[in-house]
Amino acid sequence: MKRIVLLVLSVILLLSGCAKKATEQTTEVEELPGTLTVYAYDSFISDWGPGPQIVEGYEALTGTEVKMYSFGDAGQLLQRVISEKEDPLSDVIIGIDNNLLSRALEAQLFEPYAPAALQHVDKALLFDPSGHLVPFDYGYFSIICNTGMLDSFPASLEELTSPKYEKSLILTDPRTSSPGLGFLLWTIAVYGDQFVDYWERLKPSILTIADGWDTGYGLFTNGEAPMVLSYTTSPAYHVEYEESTQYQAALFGEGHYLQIEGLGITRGTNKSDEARRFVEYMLSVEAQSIIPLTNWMYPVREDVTLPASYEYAPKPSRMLSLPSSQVDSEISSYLDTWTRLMSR
Amino acid sequence: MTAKADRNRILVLSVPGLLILLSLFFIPVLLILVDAFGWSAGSFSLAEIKGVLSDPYSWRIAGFTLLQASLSTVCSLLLALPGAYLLSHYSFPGKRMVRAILQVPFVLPSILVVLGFVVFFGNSGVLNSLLMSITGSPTPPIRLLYSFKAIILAHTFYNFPIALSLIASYWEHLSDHQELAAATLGTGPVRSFFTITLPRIAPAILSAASLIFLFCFTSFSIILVLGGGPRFTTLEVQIFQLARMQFDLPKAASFALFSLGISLAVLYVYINSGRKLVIEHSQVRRTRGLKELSVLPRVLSLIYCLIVVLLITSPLASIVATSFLKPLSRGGELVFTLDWYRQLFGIGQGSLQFSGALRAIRSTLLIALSTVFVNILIAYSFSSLIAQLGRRGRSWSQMLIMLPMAISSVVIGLGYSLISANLREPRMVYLLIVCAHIVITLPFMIRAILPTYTHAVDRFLPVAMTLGARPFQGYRHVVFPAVLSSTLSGAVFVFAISSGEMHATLMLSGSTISTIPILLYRLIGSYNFHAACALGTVLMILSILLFMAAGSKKEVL
Repeated sequence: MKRIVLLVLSVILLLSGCAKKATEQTTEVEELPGTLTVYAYDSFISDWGPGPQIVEGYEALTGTEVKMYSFGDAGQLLQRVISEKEDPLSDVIIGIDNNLLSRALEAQLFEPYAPAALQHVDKALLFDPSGHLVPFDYGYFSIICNTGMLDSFPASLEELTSPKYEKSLILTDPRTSSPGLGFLLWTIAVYGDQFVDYWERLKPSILTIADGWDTGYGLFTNGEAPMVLSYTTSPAYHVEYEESTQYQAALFGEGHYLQIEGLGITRGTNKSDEARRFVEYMLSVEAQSIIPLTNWMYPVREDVTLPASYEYAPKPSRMLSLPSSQVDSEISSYLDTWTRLMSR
Repeated sequence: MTAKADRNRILVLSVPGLLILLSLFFIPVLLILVDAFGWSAGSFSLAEIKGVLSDPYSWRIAGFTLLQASLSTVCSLLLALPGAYLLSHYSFPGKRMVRAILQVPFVLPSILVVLGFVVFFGNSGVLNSLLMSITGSPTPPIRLLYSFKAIILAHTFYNFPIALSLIASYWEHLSDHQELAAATLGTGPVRSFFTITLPRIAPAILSAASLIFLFCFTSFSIILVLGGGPRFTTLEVQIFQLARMQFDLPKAASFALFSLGISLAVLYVYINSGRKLVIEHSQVRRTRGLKELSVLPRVLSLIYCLIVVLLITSPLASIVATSFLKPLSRGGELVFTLDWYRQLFGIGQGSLQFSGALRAIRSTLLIALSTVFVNILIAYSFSSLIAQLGRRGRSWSQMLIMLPMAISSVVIGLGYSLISANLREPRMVYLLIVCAHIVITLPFMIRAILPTYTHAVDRFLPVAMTLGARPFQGYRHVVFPAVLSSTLSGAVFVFAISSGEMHATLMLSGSTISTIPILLYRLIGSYNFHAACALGTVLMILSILLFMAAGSKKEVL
């Protein structure tokens, strides 16, 4: 048995030896002179997100060092920024979307700024008329189908309720995840006050409602159900990295609910110039080209060439969204209504 | 040197632990919870709390939360008892391996456990595919998931190792003289078990039950995903929704207080029923070979082992299998591959993407091992402190230490964000994370060692002192050796929980430290389910090795 102890210890030592090469970054937020501090949601700064490439690109262009931090998902990011409001540490905040917009503006967290590159952006995507938040990417929620399990796809929200799709759909919970909330808002955008009846009809088609997108999508790729709630860009991932066209987005005639993500300059930053240059960089062709294969969203700039795999990420003909102020004021009653209905 | 001076020394020794608990748990959580009284609006009112208490919906989800937690606890205990008996009474080949594997589900982040469960038990899972190919049935014969049954099954799977481990390490210190005496007087084995054995092992059962109950009480992913959605809603989901989606902190705090009240009430019952029990202890029992059993019990224990091993290993094995599979281009059928491991350790192409894996493994081990080490010291100092108290004091202090498990993890998360927003000392991050992990894991350590510890202090220490030992000598030569075995059981769980912990690490470091669970979630979040399974497999192997080493240390004692 001593051998096992020795083995374990040597594994640990070996690992720390290997890892020492990768020098420790300073941890915890620190205000360094000349360093731009950027807050984002976690998947943005992960090794697979756009963060590392964006940092590299911006540093190479400007010579200013960038440090990115995250405190969880976009909601937690917003809460953090609000709690730091009096004495902000960040200079730029990435990832406030159209659903969080109204709350973010109300808290007066941002300085207005309109980079010149916005002229290359579709007017419909300028989601903050007050000009504080600059859109940098967007996506559509969508039902993704497994072609190995389904012969025909649904063509509308209504068709999802068909008996042939009994227990075929994996959703995510609007109480615990933003795609889940997006889908709920989608049904509200289409059915208005009648959304309760729609969900009543939809119930038999639902296999389960996962707590987060990641779990739901994991179940789906393991073949638990033929349909899952995700984004229209999901099939492009499987084409790009698995050369598989097995998963496809179902396009709905009534349109798809839209998510637009924006970034803004923190009010009270003492690095306004660098922060502005960062916002400009995020809208440059170079940075916008990083977005599709790392954040799996469409870049907002129209003059960016999309990767070939995006042929499988179809854009719907109609974009749906609810006014941010309505989302903000009604979210509690929507969620309560939904929960009471679904838990019956 | 007087006993009083030693008592003072014990008090002084527990100060660092108390400081950690205060600064990383009690104060931040209190700051969040006072929101329930309208504190952030600068006033004091009971309106929010009254609102929660008067809504029948609150009581309905509270009822369900209690029901599923109690049922899961009972099922875990029932499944654990025969195993605890086997492990404490008999030795058999592979025993150490079995013990080590039992703890593995705990190391894994819940997302992987849920997915592993589905890969095995799901409608198109391994089990159903197998049955469908045998019976030729076109539909899955076993529809287990997405129901109440699935929740209980998953909770049992996840939690019964706690009971098994805690009860076994307590049981192996009990002599069976009383049972033997009863047998000579003509008591049957069933009666003897219920009237003699069960009351004697009850302290360990209650310890385990309280931990399992709290785990299930605040369970989240398992309930939503495997239960099939909002039909099964717990208090924890409600708190999450209020705090994180609706940003209604006062209401979330009220719900958290409501939930805390209920779980503390149950905990109080557990701890107090433990108080009435007679605790006794003797030296380590001599284990016998399984061969000494007659045929029927031997067959029964083999069947039991088979069920347990199947239950535990099949979801884990599904994760391991997935880590070696890759979807074949275009088709969808899977082929064997080592690609995920190659990428994980930066061998060959695509290494840029996965370069963080080694660093994550290192940070995880560093944090978990430091947590274990410091935790043991603090748990000893606290146990000494608790052992000094009277019976009433003992039960109250135990309730206090259990609080981090009883409080909604959403509230603890908000507490962390409060700390990290206000503490701007960059070099403290590792220390901060270790301290946060200690707070989270301390209930485990204390629950694991306290029954043996207080017993040793109550019974052995006075004997040693009558024989002329000074209190500190008494601790060194009598108390510590007596609790070493349960310390190791506790240490294994502490390691497991710490290395699976994510939220505190993420919040307190601002994502600048990545650990295995963080990386795992990021992998799954960026569609890399297979690579996540590979990383999960690495974590499993590392912990099995560590747990076997701990087990071997235990056997030497």
